[in-house]
Amino acid sequence: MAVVDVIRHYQRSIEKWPENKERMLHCLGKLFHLPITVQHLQDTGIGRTVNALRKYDGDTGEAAKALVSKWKALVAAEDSGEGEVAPYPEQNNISPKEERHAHRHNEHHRSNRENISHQHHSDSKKHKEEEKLVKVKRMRIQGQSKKRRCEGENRKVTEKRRRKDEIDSESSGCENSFQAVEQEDSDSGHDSEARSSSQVSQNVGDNSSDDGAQSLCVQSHSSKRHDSNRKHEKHKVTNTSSKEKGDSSRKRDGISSSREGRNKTESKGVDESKERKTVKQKTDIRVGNKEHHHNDSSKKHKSKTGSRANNIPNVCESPSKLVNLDKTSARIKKEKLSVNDEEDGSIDCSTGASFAEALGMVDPMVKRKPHATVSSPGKSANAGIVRNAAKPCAESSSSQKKEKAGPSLFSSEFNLLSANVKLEPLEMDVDLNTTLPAINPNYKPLPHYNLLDSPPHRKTKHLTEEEALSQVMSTKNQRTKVYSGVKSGKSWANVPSLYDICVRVLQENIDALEYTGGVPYDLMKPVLQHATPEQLFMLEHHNPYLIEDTGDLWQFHCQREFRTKQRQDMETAREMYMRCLEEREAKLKALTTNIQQSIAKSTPVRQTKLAYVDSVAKPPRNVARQQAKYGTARVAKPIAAQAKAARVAGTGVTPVPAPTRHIQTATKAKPRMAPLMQKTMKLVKSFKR
Amino acid sequence: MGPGAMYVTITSADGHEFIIKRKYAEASETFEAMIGGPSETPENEPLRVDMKRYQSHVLQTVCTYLIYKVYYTNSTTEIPLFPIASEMSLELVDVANYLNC
Repeated sequence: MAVVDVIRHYQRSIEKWPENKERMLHCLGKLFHLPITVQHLQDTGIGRTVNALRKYDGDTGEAAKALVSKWKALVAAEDSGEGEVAPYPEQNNISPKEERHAHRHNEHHRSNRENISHQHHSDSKKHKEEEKLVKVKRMRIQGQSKKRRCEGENRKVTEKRRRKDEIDSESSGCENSFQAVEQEDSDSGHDSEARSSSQVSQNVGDNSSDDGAQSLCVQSHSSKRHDSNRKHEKHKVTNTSSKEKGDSSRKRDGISSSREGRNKTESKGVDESKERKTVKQKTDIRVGNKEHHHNDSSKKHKSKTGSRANNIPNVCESPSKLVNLDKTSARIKKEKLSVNDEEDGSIDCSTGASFAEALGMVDPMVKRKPHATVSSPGKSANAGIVRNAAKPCAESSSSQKKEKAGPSLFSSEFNLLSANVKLEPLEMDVDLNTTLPAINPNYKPLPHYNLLDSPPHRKTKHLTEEEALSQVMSTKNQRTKVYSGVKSGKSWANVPSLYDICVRVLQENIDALEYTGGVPYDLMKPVLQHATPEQLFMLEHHNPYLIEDTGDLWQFHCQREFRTKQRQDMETAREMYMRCLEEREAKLKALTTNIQQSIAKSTPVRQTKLAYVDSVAKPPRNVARQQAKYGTARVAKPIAAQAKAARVAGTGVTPVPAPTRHIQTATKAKPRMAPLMQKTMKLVKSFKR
Repeated sequence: MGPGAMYVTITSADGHEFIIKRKYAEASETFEAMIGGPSETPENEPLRVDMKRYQSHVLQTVCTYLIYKVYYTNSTTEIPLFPIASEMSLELVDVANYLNC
């Protein structure tokens, strides 16, 4: 009977009688002794079954755990040999989740394998339980990318950095952590970064603590955070956290397994903690991230964020915290990514969507949210696993809350102080140089995006599925920052020359220019070209040496303004311009006056004149009648004429006009009657008669 | 010190000396020529560049600019504006042209 059949037989019996401990123990023992290969594990899925048994108390649980670790080692060994990760069948607990992820990603199996291999590694080094946790986490991450290939367990993080899967790093460091890291990495480009960082941290953790597996995982997650790429992630963080996690992870085994999906988030948390990792981690992560770009799915991303969150919080913390962490981590991750991008010079844009995100059309927020929601139960599990890297509970929780890399960084620093922490030496000095700003006597802080500070506008909000979906959709249309070049008009495409800068400044301040102090015309030409004729004239006034060269400029101005005029002989352009200008001014002025006058004429202006100067004032009718009746009319007296004559004569005596009373021709014999009155009288008379 | 020195000393008209890294100075072609030419400086003396035509405040900005240029050349990060005081811009035009940078 083939081994596979045997395995299946025992598997069935295990599944049929979960209560029958004796039988279980019997089957487990038999399975233990069977020559099982990774292929068998894959085919039958016995690993999952046995993994589920680990939860049991007593002999059954112990046996199951032993079996699981044995198989893990097997897979890891095989993986390191082939670089292929066989799907780890053990991941029973997380299988539902894993499968979810797995289905999502082609690499599901691969990642599983990676997990497994990592787990194997970790098993050998760490507690099996921890490993399992890690595995669980990894399973989650499996979907992520091919990169997850678990390469040699003990690969150095540095190796992995180079565009290699986090797997490398994982192997190098604590296996557990690597596993976690790998998973993280696969999640997304970000993850990869984080992973590398986590991986590195894991490496460190491995050395330092036994808990490493868990902590490493956590760290790896955190390392995944893009930050890790750039920053020196502190392995210590992971290490210390791993220690703590060790305990907590055990508790979480059950949980974590269920939380496979959360692994990613955890890894993210780890990333944060891993921020302090060495450069190696960063590179690894970067590599991983890039690789995972393609593979990333929104899920992964989410998981990453989740993992990130997980890393930070303590194991003890509730899933809610994990959720927060996820968000934080996602945010931090984003920030870190941006930072990394800047530092790396990679195509990932510093802020906003990374390449992976762009490809996956996933918004980090989106990822975070689903991850958080989905993996909330799993998060705790992941957290447990991730916690390995997490710092002391207090710290992690605080970091969680703050959603900042800061706290995690601090915690990582604390971890650094732990005895077991071993930092890998910085490999590349160049990186440091480029990361540090050049020494500048006129210190002006460069526009550096502080990724450590979570964007204030980003609040942890729980996105509904619809919202998440809408975000995903909207990001499709959003401009992804996957480009090199000038983002806004404020920045330059390339470094401008000092001359260009100066000319630009001068052009903006021509009015402020007066005496140019002997700067030759050729140098000033671009500035003068921007000058108006008035400014040009003024400049020439202050700097006569410019006149000889400004002919062209004046010509241009003349052409522009006085197109019809012709230049006279022996007249420079400048003079011509002046002349034309003056002519124009004169013309304008003449026109203006004409118009003004015409307007003045047309509009009635109040005038005061003397009336009845040379003639007698005309009295009202009744007065005139009386005057005619009694002959008291006045005679017109040319008083004005007399006054004038007197003045002309120059005599001092002014003749006093004696009012002569002449009866103004009482020519009318009888007082004239008004015409109407006349008619009336006629009628009256006729009536009287 | 000497021709293979890492730092160059730039002397200004008012006696100020600016000591910057050679690689920054060589961002300017003129400086490069002045430094990289046949080195007559003895081994114990620092590399000197004579800019006694220009004032120190101008040269200070020049040095700052050289570092800025080297730092951001072939960099994918966003290049920020290099600030220049308008009062100094006129003199800087002169120096910039001279240094061809």
